[in-house]
Amino acid sequence: MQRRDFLRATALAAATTVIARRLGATIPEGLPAYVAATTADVTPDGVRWDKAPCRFCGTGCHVRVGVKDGRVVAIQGDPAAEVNKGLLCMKGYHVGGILYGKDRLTTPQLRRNGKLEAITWEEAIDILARRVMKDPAGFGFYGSGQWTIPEGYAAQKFMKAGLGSNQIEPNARLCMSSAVTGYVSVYGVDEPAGCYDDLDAADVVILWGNNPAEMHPVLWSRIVDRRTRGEKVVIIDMGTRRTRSTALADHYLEFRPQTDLAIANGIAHLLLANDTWDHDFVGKHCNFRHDPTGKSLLGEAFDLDGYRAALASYTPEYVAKLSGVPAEKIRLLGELFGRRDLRITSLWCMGMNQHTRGTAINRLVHGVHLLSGHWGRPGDAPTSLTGQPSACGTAREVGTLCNALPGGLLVTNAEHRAECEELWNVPPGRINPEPGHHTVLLWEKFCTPTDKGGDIHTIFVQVTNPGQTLPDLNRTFRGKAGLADKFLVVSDVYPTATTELADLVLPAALWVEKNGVFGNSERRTQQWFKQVEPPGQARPDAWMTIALAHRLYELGHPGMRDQDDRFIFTFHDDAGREVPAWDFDHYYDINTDRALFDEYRRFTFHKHKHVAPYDELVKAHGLRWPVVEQADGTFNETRFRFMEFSDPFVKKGAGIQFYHSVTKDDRALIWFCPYEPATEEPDNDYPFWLCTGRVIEHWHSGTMTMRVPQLRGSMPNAYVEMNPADARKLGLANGDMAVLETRRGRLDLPVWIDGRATPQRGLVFVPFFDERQLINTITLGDFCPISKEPDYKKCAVRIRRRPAEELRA
Amino acid sequence: MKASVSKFAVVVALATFTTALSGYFMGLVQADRAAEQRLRPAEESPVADVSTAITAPRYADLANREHQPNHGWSNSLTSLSPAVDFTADTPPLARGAIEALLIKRASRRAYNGAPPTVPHPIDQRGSQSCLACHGQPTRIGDVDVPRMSHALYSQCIQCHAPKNGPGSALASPPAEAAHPVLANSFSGLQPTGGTRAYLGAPPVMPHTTAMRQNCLACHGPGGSSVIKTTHPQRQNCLQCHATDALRETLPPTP
Amino acid sequence: MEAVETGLSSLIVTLNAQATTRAAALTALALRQDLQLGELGGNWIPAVLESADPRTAFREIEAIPGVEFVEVVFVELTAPDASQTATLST
Repeated sequence: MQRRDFLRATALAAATTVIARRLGATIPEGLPAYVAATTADVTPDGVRWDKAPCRFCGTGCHVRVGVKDGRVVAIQGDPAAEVNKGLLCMKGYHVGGILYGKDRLTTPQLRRNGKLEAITWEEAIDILARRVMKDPAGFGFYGSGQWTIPEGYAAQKFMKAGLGSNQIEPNARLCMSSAVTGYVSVYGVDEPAGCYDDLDAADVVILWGNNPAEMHPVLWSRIVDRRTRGEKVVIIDMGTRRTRSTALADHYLEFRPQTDLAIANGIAHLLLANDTWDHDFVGKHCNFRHDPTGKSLLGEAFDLDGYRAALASYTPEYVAKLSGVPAEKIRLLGELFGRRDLRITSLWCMGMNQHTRGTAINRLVHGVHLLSGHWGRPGDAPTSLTGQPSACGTAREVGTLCNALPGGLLVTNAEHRAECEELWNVPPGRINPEPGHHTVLLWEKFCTPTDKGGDIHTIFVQVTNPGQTLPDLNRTFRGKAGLADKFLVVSDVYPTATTELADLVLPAALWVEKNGVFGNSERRTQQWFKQVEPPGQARPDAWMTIALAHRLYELGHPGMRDQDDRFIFTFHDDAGREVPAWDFDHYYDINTDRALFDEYRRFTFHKHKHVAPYDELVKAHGLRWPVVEQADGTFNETRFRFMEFSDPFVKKGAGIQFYHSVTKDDRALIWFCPYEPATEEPDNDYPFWLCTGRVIEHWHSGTMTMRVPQLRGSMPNAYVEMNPADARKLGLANGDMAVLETRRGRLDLPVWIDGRATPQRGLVFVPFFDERQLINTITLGDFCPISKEPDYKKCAVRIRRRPAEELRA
Repeated sequence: MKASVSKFAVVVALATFTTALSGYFMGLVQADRAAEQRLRPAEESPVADVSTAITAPRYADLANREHQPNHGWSNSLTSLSPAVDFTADTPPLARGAIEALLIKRASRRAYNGAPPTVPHPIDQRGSQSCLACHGQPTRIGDVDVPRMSHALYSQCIQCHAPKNGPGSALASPPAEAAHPVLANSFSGLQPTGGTRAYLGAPPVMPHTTAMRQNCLACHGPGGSSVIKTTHPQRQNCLQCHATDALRETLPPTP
Repeated sequence: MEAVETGLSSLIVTLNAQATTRAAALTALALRQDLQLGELGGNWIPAVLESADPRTAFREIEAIPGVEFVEVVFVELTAPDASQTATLST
């Protein structure tokens, strides 16, 4: 019977090992919080596999890229990546296809007599440089959260240390600047304190106008798959339409658009009324704040009595009346936040950020967590998600904004300017103290004739598609057409709605056709190497910026020299020899990404955002900053900021320390911000709300995903989604053409009822991915007065059935 | 007298019943018109000659009635094959079947290892209905329904995209015709064969086991792979077929 | 000797996270003669099933309230031949 015993022991050991491995996926505190990434290896079928973060959203999944004969042939979810643990979404599995659309841009082109004609790179860079040289102040640089960190840093340095100009903006202004102003006004420093580990520990997950089932599918699976494993997690979906996320939610709270502020205030009201707020946490770690002007980033001091009085009117009944959410559901939220035995994580993305009250609602959600003490334990966190792969890394951390400097520093702060000038080795006073134009204003100025105050004559667009994504396109983008002295330069990989109006089109290298570093939503910095050659003459965006700077250097622009009279982008190889990286033949003589990243890294220490050295990133599947060097020379990442058990910058014994506090006393701020109606609400003439957004298949403006057959096949065109009752009243059925009209324009779309989602009565939804149906020609350009982020989720629209005989105008 | 009263009662009852019954089926047939042509209350109905009343159709005839929406529909309940027999050895596929299966398989994925696309319209809102067919090997009519090759995840539609869009509910607008599908030259990795130590040795797996833990989903009866097990009765595939350490991307050991 | 005829399977049983439900399920599992339990890790408990009719036993285990999911990790079906059995049993 010994054999039997042996078998039995083996069988038990097999099952125990599997369990141990599963549990081992959660890395215990105290251990180096990352594991070394597997290096590239070749499988027997001749495929070379290497790591890269996915090109699409801000989740930051790692993929393994399979390359054979110089082309990407396969993709795997990377099992060694903590973010996605081997899983991807349909976009991630097909990310390789984005490189191979047949209409890739492969040569620089100049518009002559209305037609784009091929020119050389030398000509292209020279034309652009001469436009900049003529009037540097009127030159704008417009990038995005799809810039890699080195690309964004090169652009940032070129503008602020080189031209001495702050006219640089990322399209991230359109997607997460309200989250930034929210974090800065509450904690004094940007970006989430928690991380995705919160999703594994939370008992309750609250979605604030968020649909992660389609927008952050891998994170959504991370939450709902816990149920498959037998864990209990309560999901509360607060939204304006029933979505895929609602299908798995325990509670669905459907609120009237804009009233999320009333609901947040209603929760705070109940915490005070029921005396279930956390006296200890607030007493130790918080101050109160308000903003009587409604326009101030840092506001004015407030006190508990004032706070209590301001919230007095937000009774469950009053909130129910404003929001349409039944009073008992408001009470449910109040009771949940009042319980300390539960861990609550709030998630949000564009619903709260693309909001004319974006900063206010961000502050309120942080405030509800702080007031209730649902802050500072894994699973207790207010966490914003981002939509672009490096919105955090490049836009927020590198600070490619008209008012920011790298590492969370500000152009308006003299000390910050001096510090950056020193790090950049440029003369004092080089950095302009006046913030530049924010995105909407930048494009308005570009579309305004020069003699009427349009002070921007040239915009260089990299890695984004403003011709499709700016709000109220006719005013903010299309206005450029016909203005002879305005010049639009676009670097992109495919023809887009933006290249339609471009005067100069530059072909760019995409994703694994170049080296790169991204920063995801949980402060994780992720590096990858170039794995295939770009098509034709396509080149990396960082090279374009360096080449432009060098051409200006040759033309004699004084800003392109540092204090020692050297070119601002001077690189050296390991032997100390200078490498002319501006000459493309030598661009890859060294790893310019490594040089740029390690140069940028020095800026991140001031605000304790220590990013890891490039060589550490090479070894890891991303590291969450602050990444701090240990006595033994190793580097440790930080999962939870401001919390003593995880963050090395917290004073020992403090427990929690907000060490960049606005009030300089290590406390976070609990804000009061009132509910106010939207800037354009439905009325008799325009009786519906119009909300825009994304679908799972397509990412951003669809430039890449619409060229992947599997994704386009799944979702070929835009539609208007409406409530069945509204459709019935308007006499519209599935597939009928509807005419949508706002005060800004008209768009005809097919109707889809009870398809992907069902909006509340009185609201219609249109996805923005379809370049043939530009919904942003009719959206509103109004923005949050503090973050300057436009509201794409709310404007008034009227809808009618399109008569068969009426052709589209 | 007593007899005639009861006879009369039977006739009235029968007439009422018949009217009600035929009315019910009329209602089924013309649900929309039912509201306009409301039936008169039974007590107002004249006592009719039963022989002229519309007779209710038999259930068995329903499908073949010409004015019915399901006219011409044939169910194949009787032709449903029994569940796959996992106890018997099965012969390898014929050459023609192999080619057909290869083409079908390639048409449903971007590369070997990509999540297959869905060849039919789906519930756009959730994944609950997927498991009704894909939870176990199923054959409906002459269609083999593959089951999941991996452990249960809650969000099937996170990875599996319907190949032909939202289906008839949302027809492409005319703009689609003017701007055809953009060509893409991505050429995905194709499957390769595994190695054997010697003739007759069990082949080594030529792919990773990630997302393919359930071997029979593809290699069992009705599966999408051309390599069909000849011995589906054996459940522990990894006992004989080794994984290829050179392909596996296991998390590094701590 | 009968035991040799039975199949041996290694299982991972996923239990409900609720403490009371879990305790009830653990008791029910422990009471089964055909099951040897290992150490609980997270929501999972390893178990070895020895049964002449493993399919039925598997279904019974799945049906225990508080058992969320049962995975089969390892199966031993081969009965050792007579000579081996003889050697092993002496």
